Amino acid sequence: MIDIRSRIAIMQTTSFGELVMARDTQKEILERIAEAVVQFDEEHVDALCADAMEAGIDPNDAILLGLAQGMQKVGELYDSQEYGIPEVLLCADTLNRGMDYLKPHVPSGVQTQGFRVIIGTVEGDIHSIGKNIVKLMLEVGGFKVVDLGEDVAPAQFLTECREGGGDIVALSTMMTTTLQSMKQTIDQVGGDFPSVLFMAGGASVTEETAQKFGARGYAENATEAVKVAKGLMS
Amino acid sequence: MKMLSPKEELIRMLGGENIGYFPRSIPVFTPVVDMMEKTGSFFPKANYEAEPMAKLALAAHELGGWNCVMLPWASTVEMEALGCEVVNRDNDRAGYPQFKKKAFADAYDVRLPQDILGRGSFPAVFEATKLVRQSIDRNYDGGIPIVSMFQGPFTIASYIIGVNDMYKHVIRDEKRAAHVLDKVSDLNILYGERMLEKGGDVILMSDPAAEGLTGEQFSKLLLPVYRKITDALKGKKMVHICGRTARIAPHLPETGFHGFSFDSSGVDIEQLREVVGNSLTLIGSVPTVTHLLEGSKEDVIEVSEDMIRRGTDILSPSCGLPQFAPLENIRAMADAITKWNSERGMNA
Repeated sequence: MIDIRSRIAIMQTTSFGELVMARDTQKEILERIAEAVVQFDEEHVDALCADAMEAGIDPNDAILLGLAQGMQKVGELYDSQEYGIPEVLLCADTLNRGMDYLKPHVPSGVQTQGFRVIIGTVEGDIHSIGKNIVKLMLEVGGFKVVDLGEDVAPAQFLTECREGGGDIVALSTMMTTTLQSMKQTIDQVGGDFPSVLFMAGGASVTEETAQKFGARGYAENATEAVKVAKGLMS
Repeated sequence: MKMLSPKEELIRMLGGENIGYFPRSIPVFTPVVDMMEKTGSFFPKANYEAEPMAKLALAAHELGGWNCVMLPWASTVEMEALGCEVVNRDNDRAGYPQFKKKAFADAYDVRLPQDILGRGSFPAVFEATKLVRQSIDRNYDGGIPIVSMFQGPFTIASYIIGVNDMYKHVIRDEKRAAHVLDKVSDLNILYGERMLEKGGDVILMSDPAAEGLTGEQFSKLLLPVYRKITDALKGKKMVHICGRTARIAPHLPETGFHGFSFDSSGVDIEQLREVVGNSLTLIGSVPTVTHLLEGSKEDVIEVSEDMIRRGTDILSPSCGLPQFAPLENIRAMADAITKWNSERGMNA
């Protein structure tokens, strides 16, 4: 690793040239954070986030332009089939670790837009990987996410809507044999909470199926899911 | 030209022979509700008791016209016997048993009990296979093939030690991953052999979790395990992996499986054929959701003909059937094959 700390020491002065250098260094640090996520370098992501804080980078920038940028690249590598699920899981662990470091640095009150997403894999389906990545990216994207886990019955979504409230209910299923649960969940929750918007995704769900079931949002992958969620709330 | 029996057709097709017409067996089957109602065999019983299991298995041919029978269907048979917590909902007569909790805290804890084949629903599967064999020998002169299905090693491994752990071991702790796969493949072989003894004709191994691996990971970790299984089991063998399998496809001809049941939603047949050539019999791939569940009879016939035209060797659904797919759509696949053959002067 290039010695970032010594560069930061140089930055302490205020001449114009050095300010440019500071900006370059900030960019470099963000790129390294993104790269740490892509290379699932769990070991060094903390130190890089610490470097970012020392270099005066806004913690939200470190999250969005560092960690999330990296995860977006990971999504691309997964879509192009260069990365498999093992890589994606380790990248997500790395992102999580970075988030744990950075979260306490984010001033309270500015980190979310306040929209609340209730997410879960539908009843009868225990697949968690894709749902967890979507959850992670939604959090990074500024949403408040309540994860009900896997094999979630419609009643659990209803309870959460009643007690915590939700702007979006995001449903996932991987199996063709549990599509029916997705429909039942949308029917029941939508019946009681007409203002809630639904997002649907997962291997067995097509855009048409999602629409037919009454989901306004459908996304192929986690990066798309954040865009779709933002679109629904705008 | 005289037609062979559907069983002979399937076996010869898997052997890479040209039989001169399109084979009539549709091998990858899971029951639909219409069949449960007509046979009076519902879940969960039909996943745990031999008689309803056999009745529902025979429905593939007797109600669906599929010229083939496949059992069992639940992906939980092995994991439940290995100690995973699995639940069935009393009020859900079409729902599969649901995995709840993994069986082992650590990969190195995985062991096969001596009496493993006496546990869980294994005995029911063996008894049902025997019943189906008797019925087919009696009523169809043995000419309808029985496909014996088991879950592949990576999928079982993922459930018994936890799916996240298993995938991460592939990169971080390959020895642990290999240990689990070795133990599980011992079970695959024992179980497969026993099903064949009880009357199964052809093996189908379903290993959906393998889709998550890159080509390199598949080749390094899973290929030797697949080879171990195919070397040990007699007869013709098919493997089903759903999803985006283009990156593992180049390694499939080396696995020792004769046929690959692919998922058209994840990979195009043309792409597959280019990679595997004629070294593998391609099986598939009528989309389960857009056509079998949501489409009309005509849609199913059209997409089936399209699949045959594009070069599939054996027609089959792309994955497990959604339980609410209507029976007439299931039948339409068989109708498409009959139509195809009769338009070319072949009639049974």
